[in-house]
Amino acid sequence: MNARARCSQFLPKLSLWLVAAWLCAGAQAFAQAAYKYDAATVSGLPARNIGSAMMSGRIAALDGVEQDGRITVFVGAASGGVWKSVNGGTTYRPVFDREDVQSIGAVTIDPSNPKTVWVGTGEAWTRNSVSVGDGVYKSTDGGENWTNAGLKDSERIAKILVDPNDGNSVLVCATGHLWNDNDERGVFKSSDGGKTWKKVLAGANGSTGCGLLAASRQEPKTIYASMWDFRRQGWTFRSGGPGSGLFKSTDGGDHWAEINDGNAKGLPPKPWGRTAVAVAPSKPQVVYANIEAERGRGLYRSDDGGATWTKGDASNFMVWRPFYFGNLIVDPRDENKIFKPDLILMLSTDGGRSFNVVSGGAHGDFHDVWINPKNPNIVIVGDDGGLWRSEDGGNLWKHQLNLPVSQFYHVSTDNADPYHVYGGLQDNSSWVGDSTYPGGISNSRWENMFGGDGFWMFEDTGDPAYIYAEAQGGHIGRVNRYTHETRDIQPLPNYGEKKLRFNWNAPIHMSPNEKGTIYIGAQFLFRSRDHGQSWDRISPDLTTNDPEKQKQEESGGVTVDNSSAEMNTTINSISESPKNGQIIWVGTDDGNVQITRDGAKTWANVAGNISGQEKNSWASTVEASRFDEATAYATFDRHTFGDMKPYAYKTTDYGKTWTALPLLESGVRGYAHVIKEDAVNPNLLFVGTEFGLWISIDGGQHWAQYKGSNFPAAAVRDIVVHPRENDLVLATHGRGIWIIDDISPLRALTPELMAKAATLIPGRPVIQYFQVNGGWPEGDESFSGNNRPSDAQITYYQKARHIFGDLKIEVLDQNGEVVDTVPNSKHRGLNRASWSMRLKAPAVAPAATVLGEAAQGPRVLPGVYTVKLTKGDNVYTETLNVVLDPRAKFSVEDRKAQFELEMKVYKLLEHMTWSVEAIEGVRKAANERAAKVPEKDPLRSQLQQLAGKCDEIRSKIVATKEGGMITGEERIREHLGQLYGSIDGYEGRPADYQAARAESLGQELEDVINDFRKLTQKELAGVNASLKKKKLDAISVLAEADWQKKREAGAGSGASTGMRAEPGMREID
Amino acid sequence: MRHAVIVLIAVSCLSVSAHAQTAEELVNKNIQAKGGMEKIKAITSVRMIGKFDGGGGFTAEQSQENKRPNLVRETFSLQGMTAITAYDGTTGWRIRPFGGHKDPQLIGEDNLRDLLLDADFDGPLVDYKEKGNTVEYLGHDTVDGDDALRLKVTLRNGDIIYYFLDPDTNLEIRKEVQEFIRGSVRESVVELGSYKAVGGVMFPFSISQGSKDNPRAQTTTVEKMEVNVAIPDSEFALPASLKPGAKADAGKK
Repeated sequence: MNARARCSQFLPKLSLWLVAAWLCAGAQAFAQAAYKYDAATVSGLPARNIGSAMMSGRIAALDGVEQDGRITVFVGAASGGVWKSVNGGTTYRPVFDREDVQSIGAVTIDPSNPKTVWVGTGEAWTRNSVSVGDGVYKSTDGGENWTNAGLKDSERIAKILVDPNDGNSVLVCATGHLWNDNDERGVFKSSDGGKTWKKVLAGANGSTGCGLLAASRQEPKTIYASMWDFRRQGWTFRSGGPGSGLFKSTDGGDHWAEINDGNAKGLPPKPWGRTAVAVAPSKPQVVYANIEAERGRGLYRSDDGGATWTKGDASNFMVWRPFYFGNLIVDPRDENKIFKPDLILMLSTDGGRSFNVVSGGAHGDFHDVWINPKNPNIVIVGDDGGLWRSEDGGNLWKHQLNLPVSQFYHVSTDNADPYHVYGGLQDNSSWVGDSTYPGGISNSRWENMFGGDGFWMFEDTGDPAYIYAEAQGGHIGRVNRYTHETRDIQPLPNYGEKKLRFNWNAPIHMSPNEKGTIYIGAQFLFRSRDHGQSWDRISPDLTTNDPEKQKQEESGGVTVDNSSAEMNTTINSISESPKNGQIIWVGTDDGNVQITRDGAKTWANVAGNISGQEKNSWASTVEASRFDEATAYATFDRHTFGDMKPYAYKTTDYGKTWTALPLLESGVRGYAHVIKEDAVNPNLLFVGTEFGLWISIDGGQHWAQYKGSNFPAAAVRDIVVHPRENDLVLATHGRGIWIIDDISPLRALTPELMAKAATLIPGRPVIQYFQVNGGWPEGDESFSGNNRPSDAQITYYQKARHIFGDLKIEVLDQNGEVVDTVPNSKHRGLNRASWSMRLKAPAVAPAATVLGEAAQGPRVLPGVYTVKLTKGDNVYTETLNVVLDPRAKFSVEDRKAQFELEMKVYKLLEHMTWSVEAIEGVRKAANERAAKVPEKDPLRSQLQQLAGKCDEIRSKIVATKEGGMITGEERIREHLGQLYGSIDGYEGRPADYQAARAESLGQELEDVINDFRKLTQKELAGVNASLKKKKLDAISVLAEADWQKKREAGAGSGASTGMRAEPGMREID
Repeated sequence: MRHAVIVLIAVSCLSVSAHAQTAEELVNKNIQAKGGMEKIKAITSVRMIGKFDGGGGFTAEQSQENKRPNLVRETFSLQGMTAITAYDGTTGWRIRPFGGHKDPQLIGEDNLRDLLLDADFDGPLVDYKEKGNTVEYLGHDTVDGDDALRLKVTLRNGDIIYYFLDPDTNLEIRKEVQEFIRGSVRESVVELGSYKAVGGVMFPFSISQGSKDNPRAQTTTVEKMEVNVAIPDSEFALPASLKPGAKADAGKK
C-alpha cells in the first residue's frame, strides 16, 4: 500500500469537515493547507429551475381556508414539497424547501387557528415510484417555518385531523412503511400540540397502518379510521389482509371499536383492502366508506353513524386501484354531494347512489379535493397533472400553471444551440424543452411528444428530426419532432414466448460510438441499427429469471392491479462504453451486473464480485467510464427492501473487483438512483439520490451535497453533463429540470487549490450571446424558467467567507486598462460574479427625459481579457476569453465595424454632453452676473440676452419639454440616442445608412456648436471687459479637455454625475 | 492526526454552543460585533455614497442619508438627473425626473414600506423590544451550503426579516424580507458583505438585492461612508407643494 492509499484510509472518517492535505504532507503544513470540502465548497455555482409547470406533477394532498374574502391554499406535492398561495392560486411559492424530504402525504390547517399548519410527510398513494417521508411537521406561522414534530419512522402519512375546539389535540393517520414492516404506524394522538404522541390505534400486524381518518367538525370527538394491511415489493403489491378494517372512536380517538359485517348491518365480509372513509361535515351521522373487499366492494353509506350501511355505486372507477385513489370528500354543506377522486373525478349528488364524471379538461388520476366551505363553487383538486381550480362547483377546471413539481425520471440533451432538454415524467408523457429561450423558458417552450408515463427520451443521433420516447413497460416509439408522426417500435416476443419482461422504467440507451444505434432492455438486450425497423436480440436472459418474481398477474391483493409497475426480473440499466463499443454493461432490477466485452457475443454476470452488496439489489445505474474501458460505476437501490441507504461501487478491471464508494460515510442521504462521471475529469463524480445531488471531486472518496440556489431535497433521478456547454442537467422527480450552468470550475477543485486563501478559476470561453427579446406577459399565474446567464461568469474560490473589507474584481483589457469593476459574492467555496462585458455608459447631457438607449455602454469586442481579484493585500489574475456567439452569421471584422460605429456615436454623445455643459455654463454665468448688475445697466441686459441666446442654442441640441408626457420632441441628443441604441442592438456589420446618419448627426451637432462658438467669440470679449470694470469675474467657456478630465474623475454628466439633487437641479432646464 | 481531532472538537463545540444561544444573546452578539451599543448610539447621522450596478451594464450613482430618529433621503442619479426618495418621519415623498416629470409626489404604501425599513436608523435588531419587534432564533441554517445562524425578526407592522448571521463574526450576511402588502407577500433577498468600521461601527460596503432565484440581481458598492455629518432636517422635509392645503401648482423642492 502506498502512502496515498494509506492516507485515503483515514480520510473518509474526516469527511465533510476536514479533508486535510496536510495529513499526507505532514502536520507542519496544517496551518496553511487545511480546508473544508463540503456543501459550501460546491454550492456557489447557481442552479436554475426550468420547470416545467406545463405538465406539472402529482399533487397528493391539499387544504385551504378563506379569511376576509381571500383564499389561502396549501398544496402537498407527491414529491415536490409544500406550496402556499395566499391569493386563491394566482401565485404559489414553495415553503418546505429547507426540510429533509419533499414527499407529502397530508396537509391540514388548524380550523381554530389558520396560522398553525400540519404536514404529514411521505405520500400515502403508494404507487411503485412513491417517495418517503420522515414524520409530522408543524408550522405555527402560516407555513413559513416548520418543525419536525415526530413520528419520524412513519415513512408516510395519509391524514391529519386537528380538533376544531382544541388545536393541541391532533390525530395522525400513519400509513407506515410500504416496503417492510414497522411499528410506527396506525393512528397516533397528541394532546399537547405535537410534543408527544401516543399510538391510539395499532394495526393487527407489522404491515398494517392507517388508510384514512375522517370526522366532522360538528362532532370532532367522533372519528372513523380505516386500517390498511398492505405491502409492496419490487415484483408485487398486496392491498388487503387481516389487518384491514374500519374503526370508530367516540372519545376523540382514545378508544376505538371496529365496525364490520359482524356488528354493523350491510357491510361486506372480510377480507378487505383499503377503505376510504368520509363524514358529511354538515351531518355527522352520515358516513361514507368506499370499501375494497373481495366480495361486495363499492361505496357504502350509513345514516346512523356506522350502525347500518347501504351499498351505493360500485362502478368500475369506484372500485379499481384503491391504493391510489382511497379518498372521498363530502361537500361541506350538502351531505349528499360527494367527490370520488379516481382516474376520473366523480361526483354524486344523490348521496352516493350514482356518480357523474366531472373531470372536464383536467389531467386525471385525482387524489384530493378541497371545497371552500364559504363558497362551495370554489373547488380545488389535485391530480397526477398538478392542481386544478373550479369556480363552478367542480364542473370545469383551470390548470394552475405555476407549480413546477414535475416528476422526471430521466433527462437527455442534444447538441442544438441552445440545446434542448428531453425527458419523460411519471404519468406525464415525454417532453422536449428549451434550455434557454428569449424572454425565459415559459411553459409554452415545452412540447409533449408522446404519451403515457414517460421515461427515457433521446434525439435520434442518426436522424435528429426524430426522437425516441417511451411509455411504461418498454412501449418505445420513434416520433417525428415536427409532424409528431409516431411509430411504435417496441420489440416483440418470439414464437411461443410468453412475454418480454420490460421494466416499468425500461432502459433505452443511445450508443456513444455509433450514431443512431439504440438499445432497449427487457430480460434480453435488444439493439437496433436501423431506427427500430429491426431489433437484434443480443443477449440471453440477463436477469435471475426468478419465477417467484414473475407473478404480476396475481399482484394487487384484494384488487388485482397489474399495470407493469411491478414487472421484475428485468434489465434496468444499459451502458455502452464510450471507449470501446464492444463493451456493454447491463444492470438488472434483481441484482445482476452483466458485461460483454465482445460486442454481445458472450456475457458475464459480475454482480457476485461486489462484496458487501446484498444479493438481488436493484442495480439502479451501471455507468461505463468515459475514460477507461475497464472502469465502470454502479449504484444499487434497496429501498424496495426497506433499506433507504445509498450504495455505489467502482470497478477498474471490467467488473472482476469492485470498490465501495463511501457514500454513507460522507453523509449522502437517500437511496441512490444514478451516478455520473464528468465529461472531462474522471475524478469528478455526481450521485443523485432520493434526497438530492452529491458531488465528489476525488473519485468518490468524499462527497458534498449541492445546496446552491435553494435546491430542495428533491429526488435526483438522472444527470447529464452537457459535453459542449459543461452544464449539469438534473432530472428531479418532483421539482422538474434544473441546470447548473458550466460546472467546469468543479474540475479545478484540487487539494492544492482548496488550500489557497482565494483564487480565480478558469472557465469555458465566454460567449457573447445575441441580445434578444421574446416571450409575452402571461400574468402572475404562470411559471417561467430562468435563462442561462448572458453575462460573463467569473468563478473564484475562497477558503473562508469574506466578511471584512473589500473584495474587488476588476476586468482589464488587452492594454491593462480597467474596463469594469464587478459586483461579487462573498461565500466560502466557489463563487460566481457576473460581468456585463460592457464599457461604462456614455455621458449624456440632462434634458427633459432620460436617454434610455444610452444607459449602457457598448459591449466589448471579443478577445482575451484579464480578471483581477484583489482580496486584502493579495491579488489574483486569470484570463477570460470572450468570443462571438457561434450562431453568428457575421464575422469578428463585422463586429469590430459595429463596435467602431457605436464608439463613434458614443463619442458624439460625450461631445454633445460637453457642449451642453459648456453652453449651460455660459448661460448660468451670465445669469449670475446679471443679477449682480443694476437693473438699468446696459450690461445687465447684455448678459440676459447672452443667456437667452445660449438657451436658444441649447434647445437645438436637447429636448426641453417637461411634464412627463409623450412630447415627441427630438433634438440631436435624442437622435443620437436612437442611433446608438439601434447600433448596439445588433452586433453584425452596421448598415451604411447608420454610418451616414452618424456622420450627419455629427455635422449637425458641430453646426450648433459652431453657432455657440461664434456667439461666445463675438460677445464674450466685450462682456468680460464690462464685467472687469465692475470687478466681476469674467465668463469663460468650459474647454472640452477640462470637461473630459472631470468626466474621468467621475464628476461629469454621465452615470458618474453628481450624487445629490442640488436645489438648482430643476433650473437646469 | 492530533490537529484534525482538535479542529473537529472545536467545530462541534461551536455547534453546541450555537444551539444553546437565545435570540436575545444573538442580537446582543450582533450589536457587539458591529461595535457595541454605545458606539451605535453615538452616531446621529450617516451619509453613504455608492455605485449601483443593476446588471447588464446598467450603473448609476446612489446615496443615502439617515438622521435620527427616523429620517432618510435616498438618491439615484443617472445622466445628470437625480431621483429623490425621502421620509420625514411621518410622510414619504419622491421626485422621479427620468420620465420628464420633476415635481415631488407622495409615495404610495407599497414603496413606503421599503423606505420605512431604511428609515429605521439602527435597524430592527437594536432596541427591538422597544420598537415592538419580536425576535426568534431558528437555529442553524445554510446560505449556499455554508453555515449560518437564522433569526426571525417580526416587525411591529407584521413584516418579517430573516437574518442569517455568520457564526464566526455574528454579523449578518443575508436578509430575507417578507413584506405583507394588502394581503400579498412581497419577498426580497439582501446579501451583505465587505464590512468596514466607520465611527467605530461596522457597516456593510457591499449590498446586493434580488429574489431568491437571483439574490444578486443588483448591487450597491459603497464608495464613501460618513457618520455624524451635519444634515439639515430640510433635506428630508416634505416639499411645500405636498403639504396639506398647498396649491396645486405650488413650489418646487
